[in-house]
Amino acid sequence: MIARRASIPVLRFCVGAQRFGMAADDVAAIVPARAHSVHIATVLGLESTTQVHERRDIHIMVSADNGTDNQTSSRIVKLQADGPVDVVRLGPEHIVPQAAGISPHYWKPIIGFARIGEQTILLLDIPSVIAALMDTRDGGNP
Amino acid sequence: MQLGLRAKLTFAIAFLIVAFAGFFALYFPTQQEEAAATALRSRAKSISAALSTGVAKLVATDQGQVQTLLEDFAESPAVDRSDIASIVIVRPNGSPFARYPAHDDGKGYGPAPATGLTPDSPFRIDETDDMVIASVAIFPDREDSAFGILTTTLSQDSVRTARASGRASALVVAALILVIGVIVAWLVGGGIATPILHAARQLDAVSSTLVAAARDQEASSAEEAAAVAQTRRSMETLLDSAQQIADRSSEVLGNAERSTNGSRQIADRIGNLNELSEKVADILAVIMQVADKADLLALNASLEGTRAGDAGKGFTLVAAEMRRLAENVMESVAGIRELMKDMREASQAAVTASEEGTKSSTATTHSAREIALLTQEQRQATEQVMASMDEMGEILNHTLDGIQRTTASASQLTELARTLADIVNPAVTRQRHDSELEART
Repeated sequence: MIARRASIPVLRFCVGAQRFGMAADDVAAIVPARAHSVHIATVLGLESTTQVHERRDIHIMVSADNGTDNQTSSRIVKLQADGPVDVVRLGPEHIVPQAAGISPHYWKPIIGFARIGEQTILLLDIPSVIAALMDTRDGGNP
Repeated sequence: MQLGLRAKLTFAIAFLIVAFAGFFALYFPTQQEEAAATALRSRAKSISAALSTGVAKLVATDQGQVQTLLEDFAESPAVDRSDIASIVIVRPNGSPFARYPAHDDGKGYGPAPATGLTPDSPFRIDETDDMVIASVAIFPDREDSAFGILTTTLSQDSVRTARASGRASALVVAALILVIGVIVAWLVGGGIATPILHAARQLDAVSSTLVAAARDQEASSAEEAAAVAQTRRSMETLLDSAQQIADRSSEVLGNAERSTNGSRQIADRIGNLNELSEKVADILAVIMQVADKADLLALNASLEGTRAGDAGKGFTLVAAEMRRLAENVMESVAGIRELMKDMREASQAAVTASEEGTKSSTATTHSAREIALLTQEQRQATEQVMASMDEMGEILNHTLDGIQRTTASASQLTELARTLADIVNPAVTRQRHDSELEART
């Protein structure tokens, strides 16, 4: 997909001091954070020390396969992230090549790295994040 | 030459004694002479009477015995014949009948017999400088005519002797009286004058001591009066200082109260400013919320534009611009918040400084009021001290007047004592005067 398009829009946000990014096409909306939303730091096993008013709720559209009539439906999953949140476009020049010997699926939520200036952005795989979120909501039970 | 009282008294008493002695010297011989003369006359009378009786009897019987009677009588041891000059019986015709002494000594029959003698008044005495002549008429038995006159002549020698003796005795006695009187006068004068002189000297000494003491007391009172006056001047200066302190305290009090009011007004203004700052903060919060929502809207718009692909590029650019604006607003609000934070801190510092100023002004006001109160009390105390000084000065002036009067009285007393001493004994005064002259020279 990146090869076909000159650049892709990425939603950039923070977890603590670390920059993260995910595909902006899958984001439905950004709204002020709610208290009951799950922070993405919890999903990633990190810790956030920011205040609630500095956070944003990211509404992610998740496709659901019915399995019978080959039709798909979508639902919104809410994840909380730290600001600032913005949309940047990443081109091939921003992508950091993966080192040899490191499996792309060594840590599933992270699918790669990008670099904009001095900032390093950890690119997240939305389905993996959603899966981790589900695992978190289920208390770790399958 | 001035005489003292003692000399005057001595002279006065001596004069009296001399007068008494002179009077005695003159009176006593006269009395002696008078007594002798009286005795002589009495003797002449008694001799004449005795002889006349005998002669009268003999005339009637034996006239020839008359001469014998005269001689026997004159020669009788009982009769002192020393002063009998003569006894003569003369007949009325003047012829002598009998006489004693019988022999005429050339003096005749003596003085002429007295005449005019009667039976009722047969006796008469006459006197000359040298003689006492007693005449008695001789009347024989119950005859009216006189046989003769018996004349007895007595010499005045006894009288002169008595006079001389009396004068001598009087002179001796007067001399003794004079000597004794002068001694007594000296002793009496000394006895009177010496205690007076002694008393005058004591009075002089006492009055001199009194004058010295009064002058010392006068000097002390004058010094006390000067000290009181000096103290009063100091009190006046202190009162002026207290008044100046009170005035300055009033000014400080007014300034402190104004400062307190100013600090309170500043605190009130700062409180109002803080309230306004809170309102501005609320407004900034609203602005921040609006900017945050605008930022979210722009972010969502940017997502929509991204999803729209090339068709949404313009929309994405507008959204990005809106986001920048929103971020600028939020940055501005953040800057305003920082400024307001600084302003709040400055306001709080100003409030604290104002409170400190208010506290300091309040403390200054309290101190100024205490100073004013203390100054008032000090002024009242000073005024009381000044009143006491005035009363003390008045008392001292009265005392000084009394001391001056006492000094004057003591000086007069000293002068009187010296005058008395001068009266009693001028030598003392002259000696003192000489001593004073020597002391001055």
